[in-house]
Amino acid sequence: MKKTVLFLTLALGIGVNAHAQNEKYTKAMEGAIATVKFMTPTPELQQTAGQFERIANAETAEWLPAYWAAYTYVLLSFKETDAAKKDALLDKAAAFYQNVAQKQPDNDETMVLAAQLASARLAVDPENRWQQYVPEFEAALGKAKAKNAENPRIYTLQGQSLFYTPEQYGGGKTVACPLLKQAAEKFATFKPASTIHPSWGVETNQYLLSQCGK
Amino acid sequence: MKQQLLCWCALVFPLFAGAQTTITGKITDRKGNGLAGANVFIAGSYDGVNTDATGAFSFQTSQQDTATIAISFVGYEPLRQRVKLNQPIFQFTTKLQETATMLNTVVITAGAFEASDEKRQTVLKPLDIVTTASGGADIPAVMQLLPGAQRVGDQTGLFVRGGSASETRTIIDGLVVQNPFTSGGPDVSQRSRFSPFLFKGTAFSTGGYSAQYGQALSSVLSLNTKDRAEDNDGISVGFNAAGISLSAFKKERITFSVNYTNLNPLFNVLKQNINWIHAPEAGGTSIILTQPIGKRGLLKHYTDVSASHQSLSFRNFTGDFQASPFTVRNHNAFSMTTFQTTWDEGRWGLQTGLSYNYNRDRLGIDTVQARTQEQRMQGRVVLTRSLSDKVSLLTGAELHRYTYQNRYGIWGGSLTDWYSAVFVETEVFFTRKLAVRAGLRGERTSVIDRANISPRLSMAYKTDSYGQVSLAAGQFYQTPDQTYVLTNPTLRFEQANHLILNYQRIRDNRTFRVETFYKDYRHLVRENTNGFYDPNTYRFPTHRTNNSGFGYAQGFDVFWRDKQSMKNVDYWVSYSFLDTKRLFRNYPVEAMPTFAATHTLNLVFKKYIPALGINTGATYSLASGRPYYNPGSDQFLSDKTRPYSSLSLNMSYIKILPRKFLVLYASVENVLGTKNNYGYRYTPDGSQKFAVVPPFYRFFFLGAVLSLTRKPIDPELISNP
Repeated sequence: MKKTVLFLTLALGIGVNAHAQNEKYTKAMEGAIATVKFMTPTPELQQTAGQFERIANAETAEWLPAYWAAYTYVLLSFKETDAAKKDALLDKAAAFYQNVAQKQPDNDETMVLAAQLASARLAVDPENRWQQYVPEFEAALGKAKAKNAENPRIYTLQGQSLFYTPEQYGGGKTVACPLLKQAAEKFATFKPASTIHPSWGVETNQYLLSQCGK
Repeated sequence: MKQQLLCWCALVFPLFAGAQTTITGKITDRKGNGLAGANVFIAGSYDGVNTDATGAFSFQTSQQDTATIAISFVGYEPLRQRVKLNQPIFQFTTKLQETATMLNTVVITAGAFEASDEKRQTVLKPLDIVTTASGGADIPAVMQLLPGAQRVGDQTGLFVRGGSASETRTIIDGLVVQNPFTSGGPDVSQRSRFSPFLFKGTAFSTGGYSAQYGQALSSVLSLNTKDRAEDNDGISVGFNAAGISLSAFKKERITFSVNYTNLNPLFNVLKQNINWIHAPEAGGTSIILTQPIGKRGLLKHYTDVSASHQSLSFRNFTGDFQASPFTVRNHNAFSMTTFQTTWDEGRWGLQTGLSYNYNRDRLGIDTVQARTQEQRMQGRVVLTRSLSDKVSLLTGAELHRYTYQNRYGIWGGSLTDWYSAVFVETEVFFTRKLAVRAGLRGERTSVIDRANISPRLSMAYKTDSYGQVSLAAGQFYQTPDQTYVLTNPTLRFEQANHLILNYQRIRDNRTFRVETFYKDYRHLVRENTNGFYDPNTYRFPTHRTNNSGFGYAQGFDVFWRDKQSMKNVDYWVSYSFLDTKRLFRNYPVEAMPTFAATHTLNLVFKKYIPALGINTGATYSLASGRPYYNPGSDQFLSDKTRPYSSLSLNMSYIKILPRKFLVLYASVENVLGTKNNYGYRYTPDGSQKFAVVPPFYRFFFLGAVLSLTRKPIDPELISNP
């Protein structure tokens, strides 16, 4: 009897503890992910980035906290106006990206994140940076597509980039909109692996697509 | 039994047993100003918070006894500190150190102009080379629009702060280029051989340069090739008013080009001042290979082979002034292989290179046949070591074998020189505001059997967030010109000492820079001509020579660039004041040399018109008159030409289609057709004179480049249904 109780308590207890830890992680991630939007005010988004950093620091085996931290810092860089500060934020994002790339080198989401980072670097000074970052952006998306052609974010990023590229440089709505439409179709069937896996891009895609008819 | 269960529970759920500690405090910068948005947390837990607008924070943790407080904030060095949590409320206040960045760290800038994308604070960008009017997509021509350099329309090379063209060295990836300019006829400034598209960065030094380089009394133009060839597979075709070029490239590995130029059709259309017997005709081919080796290693190879021929009718220096033919046939080859790598997380770096230069000019000057042939082989190794983020060390060595053969009519000779150099340099950041770079270079050259040691020093101090003062000083040596060494191997090194003081202010997209300099020339080679001066630059020096020449150059320059005040407009203004005199070569007395102008002003303007996709530009240059030789004058080189002025315009249009890339460009040099004049040439008795003028008063140029690539913007993605 004693043995059974001991065994059961140990088994259950540890199980409960592990489960509680897991739940705490998921809850914390979900809470933070809910605020990761371009429209979120900067101080709040900074808090979110801080939260991801803390989680990444505690859950060293997980790649998702670092993934979201990198993505949040990219968003923060888009909201910042000073070029030097944008680059400082992207340096931080790049450090988290390195962490993700080490843990998940073959994941298409890692490659999409690399493309997102390249496009953010490009956005700081497009005139002088296109020679370096446009090829980087395209190479990362090309790799992601070879890995998983069903990832809708590939098409959103591609479409978004073309959407804002002037027509004489090969961009414009005529080339961007078919890609955005394709992304929307992929989003319709796309199911993230869990609530805390990469899921961003739907709103951006919808917004850009809504501009297509105009 | 129940007790036991309780006991187990306590063991199994230890988290629920502890009391909470509140950690509160403030995070500030070095000066005590609160930092908003810094992340303060207990390492290894989720407990933490970002600081509020005043830098204050407060959060609870269930961590017991000891914990590590971690702080991270963008733009600041992260901090970790172990603390004892022995009170319910724990006070924690600390200061963060700013991360060293391009903006808050001083950069040594005295005497240096850089065009680079890699460093965020540079005065020029690589694209500037091809978008500047009157630059003609030629790197040295654009450098001539910067303060410190002069445009000398009738002589070839870069003339820097009173220095002659031979005082500037062109270097590619650390390796000396023996003949960076094409060979041409008299009175016409030549272009450089290298396409600006080969390079990712250009550093132009107007003095006080690093111990890494030597054998240049005035200046070094250092070019760094791209680390990758084209990022695509494809071909590119260029047509212009003077010729055609073709290149084929394989993604990041190989670029192969051929080109052919013939100016005959263009010269038939344009009105010109030169009577061509054979308009310049040239052909060449080049190949670039890049190969990554391991994770951080990169092997690059570049070979360029070309030939050219031109012939013109030239009124030479003989008494009768009859026009006679002047013919130049040139063969040139340049080949280099470099390998670079880093290890130990970039703390160690290695750059090595080997190169071979070959140049042969066959000249026909009236009835005189002249021929020069030069070959240079060199090897170079540089090792860098970063000892900390404040101290770095660089050391290296070079070995060259140079041969020179010259024949001018009945005169001539040949020489072989073994040149070796070792150098060491250290850069120390005493604080982020104060940096010092000190170097030492030792050289030995066999042809005159002499050695030298030259110290170099530069430092910079950051006066505030945007401004800084820099200082550079050093000794620079150069082996005398080959033609002198050929007849007199007892000559010693020519020497120049530089002192440069600079103030630079860069804020956002505006740059202001002012620099003052003093250059002291010693031991320049002089020909003992007994007071007779022969202005023929092609003459073979037969007089006795020694090192009794000397000279000085002093002055200041001002530079202002603004990319911000007007939308889509970028302009710069550069002004140089130069006071220089020297006694050298066959000058009978100390005088201001023919290649120096006291005042030089350049205005460069660029505008992008987004609606049309067109880039336009204009450049206005104005320079005071340069001295020229008049045998009838009492004083040597006291006559000066009229001021030089020129307004040039350019325009380019770029269209990128999914698999095509089209560039159209057009330029006009000297739109106003100003009748510039570079001096006069006299008959030896001074009775007749003939004006030296540019080949054209007005020059038009048109061209197009079409690239067809396999996948520029991933057409697969677009064509997908």
